[in-house]
Amino acid sequence: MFIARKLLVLLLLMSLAIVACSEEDSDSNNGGGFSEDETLRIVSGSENEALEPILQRFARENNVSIQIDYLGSLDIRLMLEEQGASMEYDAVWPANSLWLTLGDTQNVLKHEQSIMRSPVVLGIKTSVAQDLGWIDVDVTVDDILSAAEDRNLRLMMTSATQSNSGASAYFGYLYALSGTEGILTSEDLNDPTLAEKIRRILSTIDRSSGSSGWLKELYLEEYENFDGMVNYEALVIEMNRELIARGDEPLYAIYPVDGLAIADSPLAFVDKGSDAKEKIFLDLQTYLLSDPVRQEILDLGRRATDVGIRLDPDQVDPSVFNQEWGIDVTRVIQPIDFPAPQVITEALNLYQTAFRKPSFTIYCLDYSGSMRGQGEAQLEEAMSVLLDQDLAQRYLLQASPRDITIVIPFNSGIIATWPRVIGNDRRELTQLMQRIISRSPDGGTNIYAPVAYALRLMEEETLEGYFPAIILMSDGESNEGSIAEIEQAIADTGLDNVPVFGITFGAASEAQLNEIAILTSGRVYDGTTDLITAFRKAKGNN
Amino acid sequence: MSQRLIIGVVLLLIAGGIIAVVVATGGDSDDSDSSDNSSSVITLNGYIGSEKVAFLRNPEVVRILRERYGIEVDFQDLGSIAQVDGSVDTTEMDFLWPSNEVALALYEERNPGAVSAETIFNSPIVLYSWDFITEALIDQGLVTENPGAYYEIDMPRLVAIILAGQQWSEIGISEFSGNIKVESTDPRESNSGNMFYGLLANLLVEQETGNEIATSESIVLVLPTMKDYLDGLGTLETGSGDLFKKYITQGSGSKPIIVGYESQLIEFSLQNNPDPQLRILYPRPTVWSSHPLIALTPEGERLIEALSDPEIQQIGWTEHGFRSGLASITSDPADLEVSGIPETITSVRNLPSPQVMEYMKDYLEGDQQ
Repeated sequence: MFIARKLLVLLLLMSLAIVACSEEDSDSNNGGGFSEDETLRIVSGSENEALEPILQRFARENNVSIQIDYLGSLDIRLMLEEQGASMEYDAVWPANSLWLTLGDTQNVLKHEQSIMRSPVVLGIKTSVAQDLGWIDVDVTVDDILSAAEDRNLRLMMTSATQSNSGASAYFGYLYALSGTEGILTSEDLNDPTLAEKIRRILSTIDRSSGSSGWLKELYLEEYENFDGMVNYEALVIEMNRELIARGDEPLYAIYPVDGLAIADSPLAFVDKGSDAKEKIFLDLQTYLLSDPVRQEILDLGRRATDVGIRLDPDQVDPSVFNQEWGIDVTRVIQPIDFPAPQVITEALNLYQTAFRKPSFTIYCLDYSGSMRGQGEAQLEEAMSVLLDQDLAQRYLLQASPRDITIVIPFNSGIIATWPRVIGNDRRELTQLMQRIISRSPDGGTNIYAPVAYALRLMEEETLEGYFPAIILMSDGESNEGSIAEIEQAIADTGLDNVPVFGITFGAASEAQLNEIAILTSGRVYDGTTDLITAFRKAKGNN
Repeated sequence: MSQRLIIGVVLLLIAGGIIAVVVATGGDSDDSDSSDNSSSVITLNGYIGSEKVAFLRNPEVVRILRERYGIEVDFQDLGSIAQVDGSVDTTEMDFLWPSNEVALALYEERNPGAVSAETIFNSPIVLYSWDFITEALIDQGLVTENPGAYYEIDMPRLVAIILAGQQWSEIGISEFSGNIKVESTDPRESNSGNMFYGLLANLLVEQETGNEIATSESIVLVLPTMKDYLDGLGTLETGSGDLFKKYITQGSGSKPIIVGYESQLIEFSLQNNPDPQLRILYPRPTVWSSHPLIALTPEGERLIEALSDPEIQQIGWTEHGFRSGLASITSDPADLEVSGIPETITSVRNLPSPQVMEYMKDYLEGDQQ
């Protein structure tokens, strides 16, 4: 009897597992039928997306399942630090080993190996580089600052507190502009001359993003509106191949000599005691480091070398590491040394609260009847992560004294107009949070009206000097209104550069949010399983 | 209970029976596949210095341990100091395998009596650099080339130019900006860095007092200088293996001169094509890094015996570059495919005592910048 009961439990568990698997299948690209021991979950920086087909090929050939989620390197650091071996992933693959050195305080990582290297560069339209006289010469960070100011260059860079490429460039700027001979110190960071210069160079950035991979996608979409982007050499190469294919002018890579950093893409195993997973991991790592696969990775514009970061020009495909694009494989790259951990943390906090361009964020939050209960609770939790400054600091998403924050609650219409918060006054932000908590959901859904209204509110301000963004969270199909309302508002206000970031929840219509995102060069984040992370990712864009 | 439900339960039970049979047969066939003593194979858990990872993953070593000694090793790499200073829980572990005698002494101090340990391997602390940097150092008279491409570097002079803040351009390396630096692992967490700072302490004390080994009195004179230098290096690697890998993959601009073990280049060169750009520089004087295996359980003691196996010792030398720590075995460079490895290390200095080393570590930890 006892055995029979055990079997019954076993079978029930198995049938549950099958249900769980089939649910996974619907939104993942892996075939079903893999046990937990045959599944390797990897959390990776978005810059590795181009390599996913190689990993999936390995999975097929070895009859295992590999699932990859993309997250910023700084988030990976935080996850390691806070969750250690209890994190949901079996392997981490951030852009820079620095984040593993800082994050692995619980000693859960094993088998860390750099898969490839790529310097962080400024990719700038070739004609602009020619005008500036930047072809085949050494360019310093100071040169970039004066060119960006004098020529009013329109540049893109990821957020230094969310993404490794932005952080690398930011530290490069700090080193170059402080003029320090040695390592960057807390004293340097508190020097008003450096603060002034770093604010100036960051204010020349016209579009930010939470991830390097998406920054490149965004630039491809909005190519005519920007002169250049800070990103990995590998992504400049990727972008150039697409630009050439569609007949556009390629970017020219600038290696700022006094502020260079290298991404080394370390792949490491999170040890939770599964030998089977460890074997898959090691086989995968060996595969990625094998000669033929390294050649493939090299052909994707990543420096997968034996020794050193320099490449032999005769050994690489000149159409990939293309000299005409400024790609310089023989250059001796002397990267900056990252400062002590406390100085890194201080610098990132200063970026968020003092140095970056301020953000102007309008949250449009769905208060329709279906949000009652669970939805309401999760929304409140997610918003408190952004508005409660102690929580926000954990994710380096604090407000700065110059930020503008507006919350528009909506159902089938605009429910209320709550006072905006200018700056980072804790009392005002707490009050705003209190309003969010006090309001009860009710009524239908119109996702278009609040966005149109938000644009009209922004029109009343000057957006000059701000990163604007509208974050639109919805849990249902919009049964009223249409995208024409937003198109009309854009035409009336002339604000065609405000991205709308959609967040789906519950039974939200991804199609409707996508339509708005495409219209405004925004993006949609899936909040159905984790609303907090979706809000964090959306806010990380400005 | 409805009839449908009863049928469902019966079906489940039948299916369960089938699965149980499959599971049982699966188990049987597994057993018959493996070798005879598999029933007695035990898994030993331990922390090891990251430089020994590849050795313990060597398939031959794994095979001999399993077949001859019935041992499987499950390890995690962790800095030598971190293994013994109480910062991690070692109650579940069978052994620790740090990379110096100081770690052993510190462990014994904290856990008196209950230890058996044996030095399995030895490896001198060396510097790794690049061809053109080595040439520049030869021109400066800091490095001498001996027969057999065996390079020695004058440590007191190197320390002097580093502490004087000399620039790369001043020794003729115009591609690099900034001060000449030697990067070690973090001496507060990892062995090779810790030993290098011990050597540094000796050299600085010698300059001040004429005595070769730093004592608890004399080290006080030089610690502020050492801490200033260390604080000027930023975030450092915490494992010797990781630092060496970065030296290899990131190149001369990122890692112009690093501190490592002699074994690391031997191991690398055997697994990859020996690279003509890489240079191994033997400090004059240097210090020995020994690799004592500390057994925490009776099973852990079996590993000491197993690793003393002459065949394992020979693999340790020829494939991973560890000189034998056992008096009965010699490690001959003629067995290696790499050049520039001397038969004996002639200029070796003792480290300061474990107490002085710990005092140094505490001082360097204080108020980290």
